[in-house]
Amino acid sequence: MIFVQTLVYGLALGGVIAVSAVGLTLAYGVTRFINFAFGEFLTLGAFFCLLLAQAGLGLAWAGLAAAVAVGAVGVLVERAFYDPLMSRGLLPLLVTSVGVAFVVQNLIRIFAGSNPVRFPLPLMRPIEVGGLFIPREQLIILGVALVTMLAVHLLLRFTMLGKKMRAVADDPMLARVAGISSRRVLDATWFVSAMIGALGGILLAITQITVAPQMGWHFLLVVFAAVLLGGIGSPYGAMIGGLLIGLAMELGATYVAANYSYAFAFIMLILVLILRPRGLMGGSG
Amino acid sequence: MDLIAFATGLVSLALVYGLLAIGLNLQFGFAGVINFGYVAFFAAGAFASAIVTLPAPGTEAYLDASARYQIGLGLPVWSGFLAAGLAGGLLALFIGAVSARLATHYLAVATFAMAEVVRSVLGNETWLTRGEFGISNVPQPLGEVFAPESYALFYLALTAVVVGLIFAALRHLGEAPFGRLLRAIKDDELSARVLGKRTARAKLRALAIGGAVGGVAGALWTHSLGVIHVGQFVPIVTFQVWLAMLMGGTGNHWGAMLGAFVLVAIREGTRFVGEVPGLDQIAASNPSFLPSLRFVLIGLLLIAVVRFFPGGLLPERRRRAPATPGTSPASPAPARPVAPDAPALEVISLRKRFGGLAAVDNANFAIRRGSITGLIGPNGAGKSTMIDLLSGVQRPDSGTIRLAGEEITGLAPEQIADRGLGRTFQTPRLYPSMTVWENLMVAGMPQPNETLRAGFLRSGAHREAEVQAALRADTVLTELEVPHMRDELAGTLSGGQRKLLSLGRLMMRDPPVMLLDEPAAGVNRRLAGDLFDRITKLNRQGTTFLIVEHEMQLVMRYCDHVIVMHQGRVLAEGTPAEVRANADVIEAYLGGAVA
Repeated sequence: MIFVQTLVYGLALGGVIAVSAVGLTLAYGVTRFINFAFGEFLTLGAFFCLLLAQAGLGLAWAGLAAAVAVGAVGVLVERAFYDPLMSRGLLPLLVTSVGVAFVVQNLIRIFAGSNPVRFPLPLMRPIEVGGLFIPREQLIILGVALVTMLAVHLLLRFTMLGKKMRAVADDPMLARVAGISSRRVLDATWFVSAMIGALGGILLAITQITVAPQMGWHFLLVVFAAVLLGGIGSPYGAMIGGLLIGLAMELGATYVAANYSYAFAFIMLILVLILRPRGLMGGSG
Repeated sequence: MDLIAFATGLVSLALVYGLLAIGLNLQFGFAGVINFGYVAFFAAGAFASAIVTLPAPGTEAYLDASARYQIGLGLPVWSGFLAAGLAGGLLALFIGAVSARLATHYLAVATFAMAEVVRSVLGNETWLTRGEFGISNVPQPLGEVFAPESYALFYLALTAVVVGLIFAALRHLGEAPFGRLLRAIKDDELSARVLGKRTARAKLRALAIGGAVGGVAGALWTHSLGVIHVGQFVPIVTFQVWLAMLMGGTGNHWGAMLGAFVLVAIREGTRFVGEVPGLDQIAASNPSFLPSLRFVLIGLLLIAVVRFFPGGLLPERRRRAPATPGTSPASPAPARPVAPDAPALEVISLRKRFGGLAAVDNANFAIRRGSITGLIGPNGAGKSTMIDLLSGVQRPDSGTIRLAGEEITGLAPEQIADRGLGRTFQTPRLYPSMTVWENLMVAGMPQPNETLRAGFLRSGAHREAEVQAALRADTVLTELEVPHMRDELAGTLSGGQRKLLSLGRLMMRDPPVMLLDEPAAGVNRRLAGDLFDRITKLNRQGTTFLIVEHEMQLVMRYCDHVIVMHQGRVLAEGTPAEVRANADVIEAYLGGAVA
């Protein structure tokens, strides 16, 4: 019984991680660096959503509007900070993204204070299935996560933008030669990446019931774990990686040691990296 | 008096950060390891030293302090420092061993994650660390000897001595062959491996030393504070150390130290923001304003330094080669063991596929000792892949490679290089941030002189090796007729000069077999002729050559044997004249265009 309950929680947490991981890995695909400021998209999404909800907007609409706004922030950040460094190798980009993370996170802290704020979720009665109580929140999270992943799948498979994104991710030079404007694809990718990140942040706020300025930064490592587990740059890998990490964290917390649930994510990550240095879907060698 | 106490505190803090920055500098600035979890070594050292030196539970000191911790060994402070260095170094060895196979991105994330695991363990294992509560009785060395007001000055002096000693040792190491090797690895690891360098081992050592340095910094810090808790070791510490190092100038220990002082000055300067009119009201009404502002500032600095001052305040200076003592002898005739009649290089049924493409498809040939063999073929024939397979840069799917009768199939590049095979790359892979002379010195330094011990203890034998290599470098520069380029950065050389330097590096090692991948491509005609004259001269001294070359006139003129590859197979071989007359070759390669 506890096992099934844990499974539900694990899947919901996995959904949150998977959504966030897809966002991170999409941007990696076209820019080739791991964005350490990605966690701040999550935090911003949750705070924008909170603000809009407090202003009287319905939660669903507030969430969508927040996601779009964060998408715009993503494009701004990319243009202002990352784009000028694209030709300078990996380290400047990594360090800059860490700098952006500190700036955004602490600006939020200046405005919102350091203490967690309750996320305005309406009270919902859990669903009872055969003696099992399943909170509606978890189902909503799982639903939103699945819809988001389906949307990403449709975007990548069936739209021109998605095809261009995959082309640029595959070979940026070749894509440019083929007449794909990498500038526009880059903008669009960062918009989508940040937007999905914001959605992930809102889902995270629902699971944690509170929002705090450090929530995205703390969650970042779990998202990294999922991304690397699935093979960096592979959206489908990120989805599977996210679900696996979520399950591992909940199962580990329930059956091994509750205060090590984050550590389980990394231990899993490290094990996978040792056995398969490019992740599950990253091909061999 | 207050001001003095404040200043001593700041200088001590800056020295500790400086120590962290030079430790990180050894790992990144020298060896190129992107470590985003450096704080873990700091934490390990701090806790190790604290726990080793805390009075044991039950003792009088323990009861007097009404302490609550469970483990304390009560050993003297110097053993705490030793334990701190060991803890940091061992942790770094462990992290290095686990993540050695990871590429840069994965390494950055893996080290970041491991630091968080370390913090999570330290936070949860309260029996050892008391977690978030921390331990507030960390002993201060000689605390009972000094009056409280003069203690800060004493501790500053202690810190300065410890930091100064480590600083001097690391600078010494950085100038030694070991340091030179690390910088070469940072510039181009593969190119170091094909010169026979044990790069994985050198990187692991750099990581361990950097970890030990971080550990000692932790000990210095925790004994000065007297308080230790896990919240002190958050990721932002790592990035402050990065900021100090980048701000000062990577690869340069003086720069890293300076960067730490600037960092501390800026960071502590934010303390006074609350006193600026206008801002003081905001600070009073918003308790998170000042601490947040400090981190915003650190973030902005990280962004700005990387973007606008990539070299830092003290960029690494171009080194000048020391004057060579004595006169350079004539190029010594290499004494080669004359082995039985095995071919210099033998390839049997070699295959390599990339997906659906067979780059090398059942190739067979043998290269006579003492020959200059040309390897020709149209683009995509598999020539460069062949060179990669022979030198161990890629592993063949099947088949056998023998070097002077000894099987070398599937060995690592450095092992093959040690067995006497040298190679150049089609696009020269030099160490661009090092001078021509340093490029040659790295190549010519025998491996026993590149160890840590050789770096610290410069015995007569090691000094002699350095002199020998320097003499040899002079000889090579003279033979290539470029002695004036000695102190030029390799990154600023022209295409032809790069090709020349690649060959020069091989001449430093003087392997019996050299594989040259298009040594004359992009080189002007006169220089190309010179280059091949040089090759002929080396050949007369006993070196066997396999040369990939597109310029048919050079091949016809200088090679005494030619192998033609086509679609991964050996299409024909023979003397240049035979090959030129071969109908298949004309058809496949020359397209019938040669009259």
